[in-house]
Amino acid sequence: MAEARRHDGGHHSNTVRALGREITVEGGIYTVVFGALALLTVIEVVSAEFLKGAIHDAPSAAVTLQAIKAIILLGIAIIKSSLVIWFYMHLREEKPLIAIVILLPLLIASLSIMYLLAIPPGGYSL
Amino acid sequence: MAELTADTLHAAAAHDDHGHISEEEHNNNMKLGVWLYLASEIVIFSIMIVGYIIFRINEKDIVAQAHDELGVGLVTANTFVLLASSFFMVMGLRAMQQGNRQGMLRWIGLTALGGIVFLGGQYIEYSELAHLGIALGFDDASAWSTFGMRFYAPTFFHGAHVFVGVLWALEVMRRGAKGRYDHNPIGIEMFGLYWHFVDVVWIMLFTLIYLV
Amino acid sequence: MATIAVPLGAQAEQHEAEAVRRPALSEYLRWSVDHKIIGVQYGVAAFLFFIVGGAMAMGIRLELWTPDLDLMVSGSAYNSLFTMHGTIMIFLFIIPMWAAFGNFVVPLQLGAKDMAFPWLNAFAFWLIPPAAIVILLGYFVTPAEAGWTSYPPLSTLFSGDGQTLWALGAHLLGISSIMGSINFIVTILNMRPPQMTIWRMPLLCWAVLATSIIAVMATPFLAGALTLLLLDRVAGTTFFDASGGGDVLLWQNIFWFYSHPAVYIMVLPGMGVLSEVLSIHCRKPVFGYRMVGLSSMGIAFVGFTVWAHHMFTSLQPELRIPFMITTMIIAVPTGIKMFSWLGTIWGGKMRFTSALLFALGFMSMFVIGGITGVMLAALPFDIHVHDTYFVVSHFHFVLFGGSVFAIYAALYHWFPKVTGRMMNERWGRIHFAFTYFGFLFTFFPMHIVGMLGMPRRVAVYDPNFTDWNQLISFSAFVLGFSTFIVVYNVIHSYFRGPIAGANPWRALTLEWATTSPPPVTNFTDDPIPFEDPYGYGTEASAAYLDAVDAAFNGGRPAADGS
Repeated sequence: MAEARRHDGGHHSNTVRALGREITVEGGIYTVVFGALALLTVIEVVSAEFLKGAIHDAPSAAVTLQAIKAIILLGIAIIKSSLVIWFYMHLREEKPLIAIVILLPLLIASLSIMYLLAIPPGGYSL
Repeated sequence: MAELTADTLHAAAAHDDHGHISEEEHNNNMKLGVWLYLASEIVIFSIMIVGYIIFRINEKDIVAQAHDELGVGLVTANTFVLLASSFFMVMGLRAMQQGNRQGMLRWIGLTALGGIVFLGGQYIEYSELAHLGIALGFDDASAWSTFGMRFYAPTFFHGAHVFVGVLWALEVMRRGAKGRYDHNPIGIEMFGLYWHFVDVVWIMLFTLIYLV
Repeated sequence: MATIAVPLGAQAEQHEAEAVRRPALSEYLRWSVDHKIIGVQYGVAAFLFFIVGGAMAMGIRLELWTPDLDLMVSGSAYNSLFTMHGTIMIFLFIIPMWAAFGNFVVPLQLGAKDMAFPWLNAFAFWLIPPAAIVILLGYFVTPAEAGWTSYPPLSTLFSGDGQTLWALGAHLLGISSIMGSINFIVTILNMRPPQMTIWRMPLLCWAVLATSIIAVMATPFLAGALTLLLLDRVAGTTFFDASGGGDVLLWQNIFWFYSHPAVYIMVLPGMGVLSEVLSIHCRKPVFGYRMVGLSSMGIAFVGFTVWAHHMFTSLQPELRIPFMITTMIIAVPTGIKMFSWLGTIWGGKMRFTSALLFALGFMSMFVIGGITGVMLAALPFDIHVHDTYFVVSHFHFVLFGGSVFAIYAALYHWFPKVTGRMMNERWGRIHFAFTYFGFLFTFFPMHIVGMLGMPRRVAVYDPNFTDWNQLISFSAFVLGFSTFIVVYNVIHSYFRGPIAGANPWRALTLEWATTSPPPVTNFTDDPIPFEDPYGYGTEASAAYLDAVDAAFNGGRPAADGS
């Protein structure tokens, strides 16, 4: 099978036949996602540096700012990870089963992380 | 009333060729297997990461000092390299799906190169840290003493995954050059899943360890 | 009524010729990717480790015959003995033994030709011998002596190089277990023929699926913890050393993140076996099939939320009650299974085969283990009996009275399929009697000495307990002896047992719809599962079974198939 073919020399079509199915192989979206990842990384680093300076300048608000910083940065990191998983790892084309396979350990791992952070010596000194 | 019909049986049995599963089933098996493997990796990394987070919460000053000494320039560059290699990876898979073997080899080669550059960057960073006196083991005299192990464990574990990924990429190129993936690019896709996963782990590590 | 498809081929004669041929013994000694060969490899290897671990248990009981330290040279020698006993029984016997039955039976029950990843399957098995060698090599340096739980600082500051080897070996076994489980999950989810829908799957497959999900999600915790432990021991880090900024409790938490779910890795497949054996040998449908399948999943998920009940004495006091509650909740899906088994045998046409005897033994023993489990979950009681023989008794009722009885039931049940020969039923009954009573009188008195306050893991005890301990030791020797009966039975039956035929138990699940032993590709034609894997007692099922008999051994009922 695998009639993956290049059409009219040089130019690669976005639609190929593989394993007897039509598969749309998008190139554009990959580039867009990469641009988004790069942009988000820049935003992340800039805002981290900015907030670090702000925390340094205003020690009284340090705890609040630190929490805001953590939430913003982790939010961006989760968005970036999701972009990679959704587009580059092709989760969007997979069956729901694959989503379960990846969400289940995340659930279990985050439960145990939360627990370990909630008990001493991690939690009580917060 | 029960009546036995051998016909229904054979009609149903005729649906696939004997002995072998179809290529698509094979691909689905392989992909599910890799996803399950990655699922177990998530849990291992979470253990490595939680050790660092606990330390981060309790020893704010040491971590802040480490951040100041190290700066964020090198690691940001490294992050870009890894993100780019992930992009190269997915483009390599796309090239092969379009039947473009040479393109695939170029893209995967760039992926491997990205991995190697990343490891080089990590080596430079580790040298700087060693210069600052941040070691893996425990040392009463050093203020860094317990920072080192929390930092090195997750980052080195990740670096080891990148190293394995580079070897895997080279193997994919070797096989790809022989036309192994011309008909069925599942081998590239499996490697891609692994490589993107390593990238995702780095996205989280980068934020958690270097920025927060 | 509906038409029934039977898994017959037109080539009945060919089947008969094949039925006699078994794989040569030499095939079991080398690399093979056939799941049936690998299953037997797992089984024989695990049973050898059972004998080694059992010999260690005999050593422990011999030492405890008197209240003094007499047999062992030191307390350390005793420590390493029970450490190795626990490690071998858990990591090298029970877990691989379920991989054995899972490997042999699950693809056959599904109607698949092999596992999804045959090569990976073989690789997972061949990791076990080197891992065992690494662990046992500890005896030539300074053996591990921190118990199978390896709590720091015992395992970091007070244990010799054997502990490092122990951790390495456990690491390898964990990798093997993860690979095997990935294989099971993919096989069960993806390799079913179209007619084998998820709600037609035999309950052993459900149990193995749940077990494998646990293994894939939980074993990496062990891998992570062992990595940190190895770093602590070798690279000078202090993850678990409070004097170096580490946290001793971190190990306990991560270890039990893995090891409590691992308890269900060890017993869930046994529960699957029970549903099979009880239904088949009592000729009745499984009571509440869907609930039993789902309760396996329920146990798997609730199993992740109870770990800290192992740490009641080292836990923050305010966290004890939540874990007490989750621990009691997990008794509910277990109770569902127990009532399902009772409902299954209720009013059934019981045939007291050895397999059924062991299954009934499981029910009676496991219910005791379950009840003592709820007792231990109750915090006030647990604090009282913490680290006493009551705990030892509880987990042996679960792991021996549960898992091992189920393993024996599975052995008697599937031996005809594996070898094509019947086991000797008379010796089977004798074996059951010795095992049952040896077990009961070994472990039941431990409840009593435990409540009286005898601590576990020490070689020297208060002379007041001598009588009890001598009763326990004597019964333990009886129990140890019973193992030789089954070894004799297996060897004798392998060569001299009566020919089994395809379906000696007249069972409806698909592994019986092929020759014994099955051909390399398992089925010559694609098998058609009967509409209900446990639909015994209907005319349709009788017709189906007759058709299977007709297809594979000319309608002759094999052995004592009454």
